[in-house]
Amino acid sequence: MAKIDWRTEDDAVLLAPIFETGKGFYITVAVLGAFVIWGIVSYLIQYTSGLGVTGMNFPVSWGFYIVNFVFFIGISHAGTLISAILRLSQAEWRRPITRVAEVITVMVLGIGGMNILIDLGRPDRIPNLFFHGRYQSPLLWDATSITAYLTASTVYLFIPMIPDIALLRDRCAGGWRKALYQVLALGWEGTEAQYRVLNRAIAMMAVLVVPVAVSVHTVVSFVFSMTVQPMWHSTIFGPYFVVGAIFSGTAMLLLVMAILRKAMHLEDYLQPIHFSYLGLLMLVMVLLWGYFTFAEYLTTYYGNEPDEMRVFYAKFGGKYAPYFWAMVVLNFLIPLPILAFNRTRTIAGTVIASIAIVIGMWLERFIIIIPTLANPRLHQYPQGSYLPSIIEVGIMVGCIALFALLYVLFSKLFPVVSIEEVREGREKTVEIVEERLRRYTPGLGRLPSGGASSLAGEKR
Amino acid sequence: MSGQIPAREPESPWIHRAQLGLLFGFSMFAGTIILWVARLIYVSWVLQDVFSASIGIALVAVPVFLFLLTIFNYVFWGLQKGREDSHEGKEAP
Repeated sequence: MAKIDWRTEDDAVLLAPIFETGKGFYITVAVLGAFVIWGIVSYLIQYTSGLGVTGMNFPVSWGFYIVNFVFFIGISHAGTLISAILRLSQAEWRRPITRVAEVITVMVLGIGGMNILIDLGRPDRIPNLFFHGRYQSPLLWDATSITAYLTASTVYLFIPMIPDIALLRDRCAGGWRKALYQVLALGWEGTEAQYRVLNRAIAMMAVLVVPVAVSVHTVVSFVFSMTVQPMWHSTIFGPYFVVGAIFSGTAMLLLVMAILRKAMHLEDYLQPIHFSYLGLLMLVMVLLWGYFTFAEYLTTYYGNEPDEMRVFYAKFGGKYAPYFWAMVVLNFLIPLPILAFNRTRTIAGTVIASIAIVIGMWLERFIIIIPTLANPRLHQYPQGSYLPSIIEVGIMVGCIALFALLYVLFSKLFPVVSIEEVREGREKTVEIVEERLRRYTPGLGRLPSGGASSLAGEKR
Repeated sequence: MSGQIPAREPESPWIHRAQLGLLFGFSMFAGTIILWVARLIYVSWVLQDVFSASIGIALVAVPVFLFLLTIFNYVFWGLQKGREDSHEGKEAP
């Protein structure tokens, strides 16, 4: 079969970054690569010198790495969970954003898990986890659930991508990329039987990943709530963490969408309405996050248990008050008015709210972890303090840059918007939605085909 | 999903072998994790070390990996069969 010229196609703008490489790509990779190298060098220093080069000390034995671990795992909820929920609810507007979201999940889950390994003082003992691990420890529950979620998310990203990979295979001239696409396309030819298999698998995966995603962040919260440390031993930590994860994940998704829209000229695909709808979802999460935070802190305050109150006051008016109140402002007071009104729930508005939320949610993870460790329940331990070292800052910057770099490299190999889903939407959405409306709207069932849309037009 | 891709020339045998390698690699990965979880249960039983918790975690983890293994195999073999059927001029029911 002759190679198809991608430039003449409807979705050429989605294929352009794959087949053409501009100067911007190399500059982006070089800049991000430099930050990643900074992170690697920082880690090598830590590896050779030990954890003494970090700001962690007794009793604050968890610092930036565990904060980043919880933060990145939270961000991972952006993708698979949102994508699966939108697929299951047959939200037609999902089509251009599902893959953008799913890629975030796979990238940040790996980086989140990596932070646990970075936190180890003796990484040479990692094999002990496999040979002598014990399920008595919630840390091992984490290892199991994150591996399950990462595997499920990768499969969930890969399966809907098969038609797009086949499309690239048929447009690629040759070389290693052609071979890669040939292997990953799994012999896709677009027959009816293949579509049946693929659609069934996507539907089953969508059902599976929702409980897996929810369970993962619940298990992450168990690392804290299974201890009796003040302000950690809480029964609502599971749902609180899940809400926070979806909250920060949606914000990161909106940020990535805005960057891709600008950098890859995806204005036709990522429209203001996508930002508005996701902004509404984020508004719900702002309110839910506010509710959980209020419930958590009010319960502690009313209980007035001395050990808990030491941590409580450290957050409200003590050493950690600036971080706590910054968190409240960034997570609640800034995004709420922006997202509540149609006039401000624009692309710019949702991006501002998202930036605030991403920073605010990182602070939330910091505020949960550090003040409790600095004020331990056992009084014979001294009150601790924590100031991150330049090594920790370097590794954190490296992790963020690695996420961006992996995303850029992914976008060089695969379309970040699902061409197959967009094409399907273009060809069938009106028909699908009309059929759905006909099924549940009183009076529309009697109208002939096409009557639903014309009736809607008349009423307008 | 829609939009037929025109029939293509046959792929070289090593592409199919690489695809089988992909399937084998994934099956090994999922299988190893299932075996690892089983070993953790065994160790907890031998050491009398919260056996119930191990069973609880395994009851969630093992079916998830078995499901993923099944789905991956279903897609892999389903796509191969769908292609063969179309080459033979018949569609799956």
